[in-house]
Amino acid sequence: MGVSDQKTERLINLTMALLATKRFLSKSEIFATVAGYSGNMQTMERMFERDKDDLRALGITIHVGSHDPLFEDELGYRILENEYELALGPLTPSELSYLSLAATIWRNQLFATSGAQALLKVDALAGTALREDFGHATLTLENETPLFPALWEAITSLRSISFTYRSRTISKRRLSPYGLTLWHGSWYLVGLDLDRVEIRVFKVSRITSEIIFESPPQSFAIPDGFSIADHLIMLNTRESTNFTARVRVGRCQTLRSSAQVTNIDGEWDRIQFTLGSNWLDQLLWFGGDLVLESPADCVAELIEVLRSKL
Amino acid sequence: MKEGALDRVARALNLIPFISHNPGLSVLQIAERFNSTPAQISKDLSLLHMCGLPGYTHLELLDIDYEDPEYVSVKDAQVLDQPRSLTQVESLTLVLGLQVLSELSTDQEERAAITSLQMRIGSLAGDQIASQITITDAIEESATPTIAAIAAAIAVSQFLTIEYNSASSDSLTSRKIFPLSLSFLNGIAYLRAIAVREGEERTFRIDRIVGLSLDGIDTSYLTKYAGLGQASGHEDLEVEMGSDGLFFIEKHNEIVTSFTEGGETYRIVLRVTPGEWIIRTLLSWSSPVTVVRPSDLAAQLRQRITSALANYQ
Repeated sequence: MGVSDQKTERLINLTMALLATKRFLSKSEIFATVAGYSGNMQTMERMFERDKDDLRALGITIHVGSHDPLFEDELGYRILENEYELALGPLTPSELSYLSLAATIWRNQLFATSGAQALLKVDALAGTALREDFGHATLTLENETPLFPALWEAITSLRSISFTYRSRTISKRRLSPYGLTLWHGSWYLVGLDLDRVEIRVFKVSRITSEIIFESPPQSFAIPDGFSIADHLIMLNTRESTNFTARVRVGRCQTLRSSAQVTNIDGEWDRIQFTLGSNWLDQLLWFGGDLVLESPADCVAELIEVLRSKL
Repeated sequence: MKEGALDRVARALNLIPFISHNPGLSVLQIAERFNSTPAQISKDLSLLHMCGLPGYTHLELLDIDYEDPEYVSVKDAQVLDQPRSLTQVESLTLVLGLQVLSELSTDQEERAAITSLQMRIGSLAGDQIASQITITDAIEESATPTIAAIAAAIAVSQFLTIEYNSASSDSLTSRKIFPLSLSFLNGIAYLRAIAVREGEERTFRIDRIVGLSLDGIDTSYLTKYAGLGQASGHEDLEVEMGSDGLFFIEKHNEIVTSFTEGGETYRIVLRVTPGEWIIRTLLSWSSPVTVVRPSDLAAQLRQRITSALANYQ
């Protein structure tokens, strides 16, 4: 058996022993009873220290305490069942289905992997047999975000970062990242821009470089009361305008569905409708089937844009 | 990449409760779920078979039956019969996923059930992280019952007849489709489906489906369709734009095959099905676009602009 096998086996035995015990197990008890510890005392001590670190790296909490209040110097170790085990209580078949769908809609590498891991655990609670299949592999939500794992690391461990950002111009940005939010299929990064000393929002897909860590973990604090939603400028640009236009009879179907329509003659109808800030793109789509009549400044802008496209 | 002992321990600790609650799977099926190989899973099982509680007699060891690779079961999981708790990122993945589902749901009761589940899992993730990684509006349109109906139809291989407001042909048509998948691009929901009459794959915007009725079920349709071979009909075209070409690339990411950047201009190669859609897409881009090739598309686009302008003279 290879060294790696021995170590794997010892770590599993140690986990099981610490999980099974109802009281703290002392080091000497562990060395005497858990399979895999051998050699002189010093070797075993070193082995045990590394093993504890490894189990903690796997996210397993090992409690240290004394099983004898009179002899506190002899410390013992144990893993609490209620912390180790997934405690979700009983799940109904439809809840299992929601969970499996929630786990599998992600395209970003971090959530895709974590979702698969989470689902293995959920399936180990109740078995896959109960789960209704919704055909969930067919739903995708996000645009691709390869930088997601690095951003997650920066945000959760509070490390400042730098990256190249491409907007109208390309520039290097330094940021204390506060959070990420998914809006309309794309991830947005919110944080304190260290050069502009202001909270800014960045569309993750416009970051063109790797994420470079500029500081060790825990190097900044998120201000009290900070909320991502307060900084999302895209939520504040929803002004709408009322338009009147002539449209050819039978044409411009998508506009008509939410418009007031009056017939003019055999060739034209007049419609009144409301559009948001992207009205120009939406009206250009109809080409010569639509003649904008008001408001006047929009008519002028539309004609100007058409001329510029020639 | 060579796997470390820790990855293996993590997998082994998940394997036992998983097999315990899903007895009778084959080694291959287990390997697929664990994103591993059958050889690796077999090695894991024989290693786990040697592990157990102090004492290490047959009463304390993990008892796993894996002699028949077609039927694996755990007879005694000792203290490992329950799965490990979720990590922070695992909980958050589920919480955010459930939030998206509740946005998509139109059924009050279903939405309440999803939200309550979301809160149960949320308590495992922690408040701090939940305030740092959020969903503002996953999708643009408020959820439509259409999405739920289509998802259900996809699951059972059911045909649909839809009333579709086609923006490219600017007309309302009724068509029979076989739904394949739902996706969201820039927050807008799309349905990929086979248009039965044309025998071709098409993409429909969910918000333009104005009517929908369920049709027959045919679980073998996809296989039959694949046998026919798909019509491709794609064409490469090349356009040149100013500095906002970047935003065009972002918006139409799915059809952009390559682009080059030269100072203030972008040259973009697109792969599309020729027709109304691409002409109107270029027409509705509010800044100048030069079609480099093919020349007939350049002429068509020019003619559209000229006739639109003629209305104002």
